[in-house]
Amino acid sequence: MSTKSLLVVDDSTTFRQLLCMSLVRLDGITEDNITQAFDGADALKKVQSGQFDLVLTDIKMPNMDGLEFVSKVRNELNRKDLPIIIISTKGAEDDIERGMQMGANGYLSKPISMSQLRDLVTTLLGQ
Amino acid sequence: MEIDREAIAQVFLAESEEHLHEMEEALIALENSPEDQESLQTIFRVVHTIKGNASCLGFQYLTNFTHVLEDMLDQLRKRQIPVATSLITLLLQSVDALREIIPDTVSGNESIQPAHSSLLNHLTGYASPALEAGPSNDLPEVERVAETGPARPSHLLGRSGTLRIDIEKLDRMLTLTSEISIARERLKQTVGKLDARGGQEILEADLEVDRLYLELQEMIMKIRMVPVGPIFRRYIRTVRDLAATHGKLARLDIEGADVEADTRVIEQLTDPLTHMIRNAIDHGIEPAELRQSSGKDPCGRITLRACHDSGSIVIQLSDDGCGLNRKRILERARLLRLIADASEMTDQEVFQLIFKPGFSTSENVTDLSGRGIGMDVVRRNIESLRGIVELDSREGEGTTISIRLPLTLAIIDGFKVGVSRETYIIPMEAVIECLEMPEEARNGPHGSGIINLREQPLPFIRLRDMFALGSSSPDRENIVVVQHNDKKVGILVDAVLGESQAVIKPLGKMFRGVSGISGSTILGNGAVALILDVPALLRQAVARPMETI
Repeated sequence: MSTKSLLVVDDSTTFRQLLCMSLVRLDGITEDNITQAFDGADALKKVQSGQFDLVLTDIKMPNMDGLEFVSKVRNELNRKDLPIIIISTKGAEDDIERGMQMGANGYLSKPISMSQLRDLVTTLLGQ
Repeated sequence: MEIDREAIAQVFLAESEEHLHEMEEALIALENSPEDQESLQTIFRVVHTIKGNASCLGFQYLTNFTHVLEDMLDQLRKRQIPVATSLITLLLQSVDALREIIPDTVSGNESIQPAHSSLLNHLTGYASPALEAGPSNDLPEVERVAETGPARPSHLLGRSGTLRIDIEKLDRMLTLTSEISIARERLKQTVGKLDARGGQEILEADLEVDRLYLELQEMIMKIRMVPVGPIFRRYIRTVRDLAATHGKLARLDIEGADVEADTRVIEQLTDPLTHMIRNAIDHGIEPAELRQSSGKDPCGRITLRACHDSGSIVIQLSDDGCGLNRKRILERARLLRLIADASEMTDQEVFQLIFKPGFSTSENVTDLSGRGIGMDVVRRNIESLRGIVELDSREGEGTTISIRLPLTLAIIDGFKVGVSRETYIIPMEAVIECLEMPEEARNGPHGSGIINLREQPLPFIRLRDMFALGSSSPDRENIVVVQHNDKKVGILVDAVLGESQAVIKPLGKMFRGVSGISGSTILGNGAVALILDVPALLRQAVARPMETI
């Protein structure tokens, strides 16, 4: 199985690290292939300049939030093919609905269950 | 807790601390302008992030606490409850509570304190109409990402590639550069003794090392520079709370938050700034009604600004309060027998009286100031950082206190002088001139006295006597004229050895009580040189002649 490139987007270092730690436990993902971005604008720049197989992004972030980021990837960069998982925190279900309408491929809510993470990532990476 | 989770919990701790500062600031901004959507979003986002992280790390109580807080903020956002001072106070108390709960939780102590539960009840009460179910019901137990199996945590990088470093390590790095410099000096001397050909090659290599070494030292100095903003912003809350307990209105404006200074300098500023802010609120800012009746904004304005000025950092605290009251200062000074006749004193001279120990014009001892410790402590603290304090005040318009500090405490531009076999360093910024000691003035009694310098009396002290170095003075002596706060004094030394940059080492316990010395440094030849504390020497020089009268 080839190694996959992932982009993890969250303004909180704590959560980015937690997520990276969990992702590397999945097959075909190593720490070296995970790129981190700290808000939507940073992520958008990285999507433009790099090759990613999957993006996992938080929704509530300063500067550019996750919803705006998804919308820009789909409409401005015209990247309809790039799988995106949006992550919200329990209690912010509206955000998930809006994100899915904007073209996200899946969602997770914090606290994230390892099995859900595994299922969703594996499916979206087409493994 | 397993190692990775432990590491991430530490990141969480540091990150939350930053978030809480951000929230505190946004709360006060929101209180001042209730329509400020950006502040409200920031507050909401901070609580949301802490909640998300806490839930992922499995901190149940913290998750519940932030959940209740979030519910309340949600209502605030939907305008179901108004921005009231009581609400902001409650939210600020929640910030304080989180500052206790988060470190406790991270260190494995998730027990619930009564004060926190009662705060939680208050929050629930405030938000009750819309609170449906208890927060804990909302959070089913799931296998949490962080609790599963070992994996290496990725690099402990913060936002945009910054790194948190222990300041002790930076201090050590700096000490190492100075030790390398000493070792290199010795190497240079050894190389100098080698035969011409081999010596030349090594000498060339050494020049290259020299260049690299200086670059490294410069980089290390740069790492130590941090912006003053974060320290300044902490006082936004201080001003709000202090003014409130005193029944006044005041806000703090910050200018020059990006100005950078050595982290040690900034650290040492906290206490003096707290004193100064307390004074500004207690003595400067008038009660709201009084301000209104004199045509001022009822909310007092305190400004904290920073700027760079010719190799120093200048920190200014201004208030638009009542200014210093000459009459009251003089009354108090007479009472304390600090002065006899004040008729010829300029305003500046009168204002200087507030720096005298034990001075306070406040009629009542309040919570804020007026305990008789105050500006003298501020001045002493600043002087120990090789800084100076200046004061400007206009009656009815306000007071500005300026602090001028060196950009770094770690390196000093020094002037080397020799006495007996010892070398001393005088901070360059204090040195005015050097001259040969006139023969006729050399026979003073206690190793101190007064000489006539261009028709002006100049008190002097002889370092040899001051530090009891024994041995008799050489045939010729030099006098280094130093200045501090408009006062001049001459320091009598055997030899003037020129300028040199020195890395300051703090004094060991043995020397801490010794007056007149502020630190030490290691010279190129490996010997130790003491750095002179000019303000302290000045005080002694001025005090001595009076004792003998």
